[in-house]
Amino acid sequence: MKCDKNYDLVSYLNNEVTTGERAEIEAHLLDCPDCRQEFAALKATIGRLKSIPPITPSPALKTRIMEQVSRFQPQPVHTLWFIPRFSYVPAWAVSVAVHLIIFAGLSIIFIRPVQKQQEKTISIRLAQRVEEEKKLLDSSPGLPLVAGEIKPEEREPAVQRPAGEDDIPTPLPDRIKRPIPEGIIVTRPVDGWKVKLKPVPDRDDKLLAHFNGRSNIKTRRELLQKYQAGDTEPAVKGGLNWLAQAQSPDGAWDGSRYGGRKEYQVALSSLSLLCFLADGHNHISGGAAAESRPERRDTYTALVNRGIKFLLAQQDSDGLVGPKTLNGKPARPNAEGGQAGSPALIGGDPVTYSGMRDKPVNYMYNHGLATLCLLEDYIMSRDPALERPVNQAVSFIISAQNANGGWGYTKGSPTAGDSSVTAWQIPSLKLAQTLGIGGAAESLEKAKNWLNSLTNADGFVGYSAPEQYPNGPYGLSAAGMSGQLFMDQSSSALSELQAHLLTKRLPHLQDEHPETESDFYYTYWGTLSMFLQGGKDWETWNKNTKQTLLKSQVRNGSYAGSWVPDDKWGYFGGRIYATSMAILSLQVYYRYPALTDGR
Amino acid sequence: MSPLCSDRSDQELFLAYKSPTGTGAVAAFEELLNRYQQKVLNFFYRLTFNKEVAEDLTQDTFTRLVQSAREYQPRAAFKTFLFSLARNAWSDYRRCEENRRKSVSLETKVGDDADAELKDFIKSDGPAPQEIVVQRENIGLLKKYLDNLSPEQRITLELCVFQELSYEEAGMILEIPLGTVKTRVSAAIMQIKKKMEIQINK
Repeated sequence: MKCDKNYDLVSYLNNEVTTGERAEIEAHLLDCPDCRQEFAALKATIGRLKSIPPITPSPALKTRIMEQVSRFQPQPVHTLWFIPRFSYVPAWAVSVAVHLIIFAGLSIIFIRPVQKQQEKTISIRLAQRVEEEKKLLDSSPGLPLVAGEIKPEEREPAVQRPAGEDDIPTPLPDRIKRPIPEGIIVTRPVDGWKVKLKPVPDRDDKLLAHFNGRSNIKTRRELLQKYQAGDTEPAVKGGLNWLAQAQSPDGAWDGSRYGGRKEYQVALSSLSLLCFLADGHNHISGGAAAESRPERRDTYTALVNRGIKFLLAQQDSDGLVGPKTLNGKPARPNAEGGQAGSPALIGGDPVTYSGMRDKPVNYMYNHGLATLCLLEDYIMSRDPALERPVNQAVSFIISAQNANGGWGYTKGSPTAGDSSVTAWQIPSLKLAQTLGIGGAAESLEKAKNWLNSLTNADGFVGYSAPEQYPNGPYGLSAAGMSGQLFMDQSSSALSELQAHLLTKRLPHLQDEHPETESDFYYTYWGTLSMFLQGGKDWETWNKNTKQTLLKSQVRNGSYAGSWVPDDKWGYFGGRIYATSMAILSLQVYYRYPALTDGR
Repeated sequence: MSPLCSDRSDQELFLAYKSPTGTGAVAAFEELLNRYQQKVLNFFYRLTFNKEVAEDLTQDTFTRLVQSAREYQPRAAFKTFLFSLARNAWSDYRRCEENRRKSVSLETKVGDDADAELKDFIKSDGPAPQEIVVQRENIGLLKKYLDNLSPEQRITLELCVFQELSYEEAGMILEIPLGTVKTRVSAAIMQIKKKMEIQINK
C-alpha cells in the first residue's frame, strides 16, 4: 500500500472506532484508491475466515452436559442461600445494602403515585399526538395505487414534537410516527375481517392471478400432486406452527431470541410472514387455511395482521421499512451510507461488527423483504389501507438503486452494490410493475443490465464484480438466476445453463455428504429458480432438495417443526431465518407460478 | 415445549437456574445450553480444529458454569461470564497439553507434519481437470492461517471476529486493556491477509 496514512482499517471494519475517526476514515476512503483497495482486501480476509463452516454438536454432548447439571441441582429451598454470599463482604457493605433496601422500600411507597401520575400524563400526550397525526393523515390526499412517483408535497408532513417533550421517556420507539392505517387494526372482531376480495383488475396477468390460487385448497392439491410433493405438507404445517409460537406480542419475530441478530428483526419478521402469506393467509382473511387448516384460520389471520401492523409501524416518512440505526435514533453524520455498519443477513458480506447500538443498519435487506411482504399481502387482501405504504416502500427501493442498476446495503452506499441485496429487491419490483406502480419497469431494466454485467460465460454471477465470489459462486448464481427469471417471467439460454450448473451442487445433508455445507440461502434461491425454470434439471433438484429439507427438520422437543441454523448464515439469522427459508423452499410448488406450464 | 423459557433473556434464564426455589431450573439451563452450546463448541473448534477436544472443552465450560453459578453478578452480561469460563477452560487445557508435550518424546517434528498436512489439503482440494475452475474457499488453508497465529492473537480474534463480541467485552474476558485487544485483532488480520496474498501470487 502506497498511502502513508496508516488508518486502523481493521478496527473500522469492526466498528471499533470513535465517531471522529470514522468520519475521517470514510472521507479518506472516498479519496484514496489505495486505502479502498486495502479496505476491500481486509474485508475479504475477514469474510473468508468467517466462511470456515461451523460444526454442529453431536447429540451426545447435550446429554452429557445435562447429566452433569442434574447432579449439581441448585440448593434446596430451605437453605439460607444468601448467607454465604455475604460472608466475604465487609460489614459496612452489608449495612449500606440494608439501608438501600429500606430506602428502596420507602421509595416504592412514596414515589410510586408520582410516577403513575407522570405515566398518565405521558399517555394522554401520546394519545393527543396520535390524534393530531391522524388529522394530518386524513387531510392529505389519498394515493391511488397506480400513482407513480410520490411527489414530496404529497408526503405526510413531519410532525413537530412539542418543545420540552424530549426529556419525557417515550414508551414507544422513536420511529413509530405514523398511526396505523384503518383496516389493519388487530382488535377488530374476527367477523369483521371477512371482507370480500376486490376483483383483481388485471386478471389476465398470470403472476397476479396466481395469488388467488394460494387461497384455494384444490389448486394447491393439484400442484402438489403435479410435483409429487404431497409429503411436504406436514413439514410445512409443522414449520408454520413453530414460527407462529415464535412471534412476539408486537407482531415481530425477534431473531435475537433464536440466535439471530437484532438489526434484522424486520427482515426476519418479513421472512416469517412470507411463509404465512404463501400458505394463503393475509391480514384480513384466512384463505386456503379456511379449508386446509380450519383450526388455524383465525389464529393465522390475526398473526399476519399483527405482523403487517408491525411492519407498517416501522415505515418512516421516506417509505423505508425498518430502522436506519439500531436504536432507532437518526443516523449520525457520515454514518449513513457508510460501508461499515452491520453484516449482511443473507448472502452478501459475512463480516460482522460488534458493539453496535447507535450504529447504522444495513437496511436494504430489511426493506426489500418487508416490501415484498406488503405487496403480497396487498395483492391477496386488496386492502386500500395498504396502498400508500406499498407505494412508498416501492418508491424507496427505486430511489435507493445505484446508477449502475444494483443495490447496496444502504441507499447511496459508496460501494457498487451487490447481487445478493439486489436479488431481494427484484421480486418486489416485479410485483410492483405488474400492479402498475410507476418507475418499477425502468428500475427492473437497469437491474437486469447490471446482473448481466456480473454474469460470466459459465453462468456464474459475481458479488459486486464479475467472478468475485466472497462466499462461493453458487448461492449468488442461484439468487441472480431467480432474479432474471422472476423479472422476465420466461426462461432463457442463460437460465438453462445456470440450471445445469446448480444440479452440480445439490443441497445435501452434511452428515451424509461431509463435503457439502448446509446453506439455506442457496437452498432457497436454488429451489425458487429451478422451479421457475422447470424441466429435467428441476426434477433432479426437486427430488433431492425436498428430501434433504424433510430429513433435516427438527422432530422433537421445544424446537419441533423448526430447522437448525447450522449454515454459514446461521449466526446472522438464527433459527427464524433457517426455518422460514426452509418453509419457503417447501412452499415453492404453489407460491409463484412456474414459467413452463403453457404461458 | 418451553415457550416460556424462550421469552427470557440469557440473564433471566441464568438467574432462574440459580434461583433457590429451583423450579424450572433445569429447563432454564437447557434453554441456555441450546442457545450457547454451538457458539462455545465452535469457539473451541476454531482454537483446536479437533471436534472431540472441542466437545470435551465445551462440556468442561458448562460444568464450570454450574459450579460457579454463585459467583455470577447480574451486572455482568451472561455471555461475557460464559466466555470468561471458556477462556479459563482453554488456558487450563493448554497448560496440560504443554506439560504433556514436554514429557512426551521430543522427536515429533511438528513443523514437518504441518507442512505435509498442508500439502495434503492443497492436493485433495485440487479441481478435477474437466471441472470448471471457480474460486472456492480452501478451508484447509484458512485453518492453517489460524494455526499460525500466536495463541493470544488467536483467542482475541476468535472473540472479536467469530463470536462478534465488542473489543470491550473481549478485553474483560481476557483481562487485557482495550488497546491490546485492538492491536491483537488488527495484527492477526493483517498477518492472515498477507499470507492469503502470498498464496494467491504463488
